Amino acid sequence: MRDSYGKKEGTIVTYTASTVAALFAGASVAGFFGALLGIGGGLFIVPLLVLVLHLPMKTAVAASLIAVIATSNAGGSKYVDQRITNLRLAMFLEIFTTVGAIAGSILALYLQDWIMLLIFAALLINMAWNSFATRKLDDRRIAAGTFATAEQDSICRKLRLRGQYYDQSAGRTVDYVVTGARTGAIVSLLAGIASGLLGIGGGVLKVSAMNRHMNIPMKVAAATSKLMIGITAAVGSLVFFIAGVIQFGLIGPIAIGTTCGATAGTMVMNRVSSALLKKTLTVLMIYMAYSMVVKALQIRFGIVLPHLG
Amino acid sequence: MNLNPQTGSGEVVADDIVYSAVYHILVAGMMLATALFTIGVILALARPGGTPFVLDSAHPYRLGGMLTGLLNADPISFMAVGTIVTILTPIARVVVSVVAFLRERDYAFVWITLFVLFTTFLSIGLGLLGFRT
Repeated sequence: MRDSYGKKEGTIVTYTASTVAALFAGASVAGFFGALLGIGGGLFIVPLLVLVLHLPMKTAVAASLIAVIATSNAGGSKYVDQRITNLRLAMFLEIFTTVGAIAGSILALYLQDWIMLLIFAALLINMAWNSFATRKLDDRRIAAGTFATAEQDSICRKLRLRGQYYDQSAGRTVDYVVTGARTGAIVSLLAGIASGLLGIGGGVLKVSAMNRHMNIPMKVAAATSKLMIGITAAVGSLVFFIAGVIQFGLIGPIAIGTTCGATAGTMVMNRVSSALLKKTLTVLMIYMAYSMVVKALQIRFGIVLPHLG
Repeated sequence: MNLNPQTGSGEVVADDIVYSAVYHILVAGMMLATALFTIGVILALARPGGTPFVLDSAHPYRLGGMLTGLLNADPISFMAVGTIVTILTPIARVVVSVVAFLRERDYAFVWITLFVLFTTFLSIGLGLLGFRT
């Protein structure tokens, strides 16, 4: 492992006001969008570290995981305070994301990366299309109050999975009942596998699955996912920590950046329409699918397409 | 008290104890970690001779070394302790949720939360055994 750190990589960048400012600024943007959409933002932080500090991938991934937990602590707490997060729903789905993460990390030993990357890219394209096609649906259903009238399955009823939040952009309190416990469980399992196997993509899959299959308003899905990301990333990073591959010197500027960005994001999220959030999520999922395809082609066929990081 | 009004079947879905417990533990972890990171960055910028972002040896710090590092105003030690606080915060969130669901007598969710805690520790254990988690 030693060869991926320090001298052999060449340039060692030291702390200067300008590098700290660049990392802080980049991490703030990642934290902002991460909080807005309920995702981790590792997809932005890793290229940032690779581009600004010319770090090897593994070092960047380990550091970005810590920054992702920091955004979850910051963003997650704000959404809990605003009562947008559904804590019971988070706990219920965490059963499946944590089991999925374990399954994913074991699968990683037996499966080839490029196949999984292509499968998840296809899944993301499908979800991106759905998110775009249903972009206006949330606002319409909020206005009509139909999030509260869906038919619950027996699991959701038994666990009292329902809730309400005040939607600032719609200017009204939105009641909703959770449906589709089984489908939600399966997609959460897949999201867990994605994060255990590939290290990315868990948040995006969870948000769109909750919104699409479980009758969860977009903002509740984002807030709930934002909280859930923390525990998954914490488990992953604890392993890195024990293995001794976390470069603590990197963490300061990016963790402060993602924390500030996430806090700002939580102030904006409830003020914008669900349609805007879903359009932004669509763009992000397409970019994510593209970078997965890029990686798969590179691993399997050695074809290099233009990409960040 | 911010009780949710009754909905549908006439059940109150409040969970005030859980919301308050989760909120407080997350905010405490976030503030402590941010303070440690901020001090670390300021010390790193101020240190004569410069502080490298990446050290040759990835993990020269043991817990005892980190604590003496705090006393010696070592920037990396501040960021290392900040990192530990950051990682433990979400795990602490799950632990306090168990207690909070117990206090709400919501036993189904006590079991669910305990199971999540169990898989969390299981994956840490598997990670230690060499699985990539």
